[in-house]
Amino acid sequence: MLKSMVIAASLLAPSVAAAQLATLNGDIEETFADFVRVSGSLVVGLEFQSQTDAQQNVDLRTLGVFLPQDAGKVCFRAVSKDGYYFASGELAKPNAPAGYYRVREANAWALADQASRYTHEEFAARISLGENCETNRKAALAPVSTGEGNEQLVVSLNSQRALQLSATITMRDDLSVQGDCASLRGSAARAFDSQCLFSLPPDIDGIAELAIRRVPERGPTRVDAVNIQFSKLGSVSP
Amino acid sequence: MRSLISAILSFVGNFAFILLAIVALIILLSLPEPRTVLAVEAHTESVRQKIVSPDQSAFFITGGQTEIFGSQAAETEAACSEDPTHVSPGVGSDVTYRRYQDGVLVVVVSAPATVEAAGEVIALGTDQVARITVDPNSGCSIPSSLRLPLNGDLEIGQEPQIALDPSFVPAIMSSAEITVYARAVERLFFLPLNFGPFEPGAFYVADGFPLPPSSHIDGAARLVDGKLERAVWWGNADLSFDEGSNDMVVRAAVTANELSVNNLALFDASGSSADSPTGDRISLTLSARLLGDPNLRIIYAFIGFILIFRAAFNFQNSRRQ
Repeated sequence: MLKSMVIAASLLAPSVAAAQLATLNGDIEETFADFVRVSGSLVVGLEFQSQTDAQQNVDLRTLGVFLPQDAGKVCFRAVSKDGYYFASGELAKPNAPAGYYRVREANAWALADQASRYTHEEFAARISLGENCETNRKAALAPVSTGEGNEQLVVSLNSQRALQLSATITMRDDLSVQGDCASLRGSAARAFDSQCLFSLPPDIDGIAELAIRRVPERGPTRVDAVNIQFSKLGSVSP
Repeated sequence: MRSLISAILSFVGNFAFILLAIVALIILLSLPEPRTVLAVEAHTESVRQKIVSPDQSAFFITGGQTEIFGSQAAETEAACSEDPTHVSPGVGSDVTYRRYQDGVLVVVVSAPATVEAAGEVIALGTDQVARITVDPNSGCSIPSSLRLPLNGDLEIGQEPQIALDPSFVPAIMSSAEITVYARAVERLFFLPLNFGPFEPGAFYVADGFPLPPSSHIDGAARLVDGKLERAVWWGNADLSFDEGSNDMVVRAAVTANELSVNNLALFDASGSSADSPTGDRISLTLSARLLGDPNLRIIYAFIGFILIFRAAFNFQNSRRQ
């Protein structure tokens, strides 16, 4: 009897903990259609992952973000590599301290099953900060995270068939991390065609600059930069 | 008595005829898969090939400006090359011919490859790419036309893209015409069709149609043990640099090797993918084959002749009665 109660309690514990997590609430429009959603952004996804996450299937209910206290509205956007699954919407952060916030969709992720067909490697999600963040291309980004195992930052890029691609994250003068970039072309990569992996120090906190250098098919080399808001990582706590 | 015999003969005749029709249908449906060849003529702004046969893929470009990019590559400034640039791609190299509306041709070559330009031979490192630009407005001495080889696994046109910066212009395939060739049936069950008017394995045009504009061909494949095996194409890409020409495209004329009837080529009319199960597929349909095969046509003619003969015979009988 005691044994079964312990098992039941251990099974219920994660869902209870999840229920107690602070949430970002909003109405996210989800679509899953047999036509391509090509990204209009260079940075399509920004996600902390563990080494094993890449091959795991996506569970939208576990996605969240570490945010600073002063973050107001944020925008969530997610797309599958083939462009079939697409989600976008504005979320409101409660007036609460810095920490981990789980994305809570008003319709409880109606297309979660479709999204779960993809692994994290085939899926890109990002959160941008500030007002009008859906249309503001200069908005700072915050990495999406499942809250655990934040070993590497995966940046999914729509490089537009760049011949060469490199990316660097710089924070102050003392931290500069070069990404390990790889092309995904030739494998139904339309919403994003490249990914760069960064190994960052776990206590990274503050605004960093992500500089992306591309040699396009034609014309001079381009360097684009976006700001990333890092909040001190920790394990998920209620 | 005579009418009874006639009725029995008529019944037997009809029964035999129905049986013959069923047998013919079974034979037609159980025909072995024909060997097919696929040809594409496309007007496109982009062709990408993965090289499988290096000797057949080497080419020269006159008046091109060569730049090398990559981690170990020295920053080079593009300059007109007096001598033709000689490109020798190796197995697995990606070679792209990209045309822009202002007539500029950009050839991108990835490693492994050797590029010989301005008397210098450069063997591309693993992460290096060569970009050769042929710009009619550069002042370089460029030819009025150019023929470049196409040989390998091909991608014609590109997937839809949005321009994020001025240097990027999405490439389209404005038109493409597909022709499917097949070889005539060689035997019916155990009967080899190598007698009389039959021509076993004769080459014929089985089907042909245009692809929707702005679609994208992602190679061809054959199904081997349930897995798609990419086909090898061969042909040429013709380009014109004539000032009066409005044809600022790559005219690709290519043929794929022999394939099975299913999944001859995978194309993309609505943004779907060849790698995805929803990709549009080109295959030789049974109806196209049944109507186009010259040996089957001889059999149809033979059956038609029997039917006419039978109808004439019945008509004669009924007149006698």
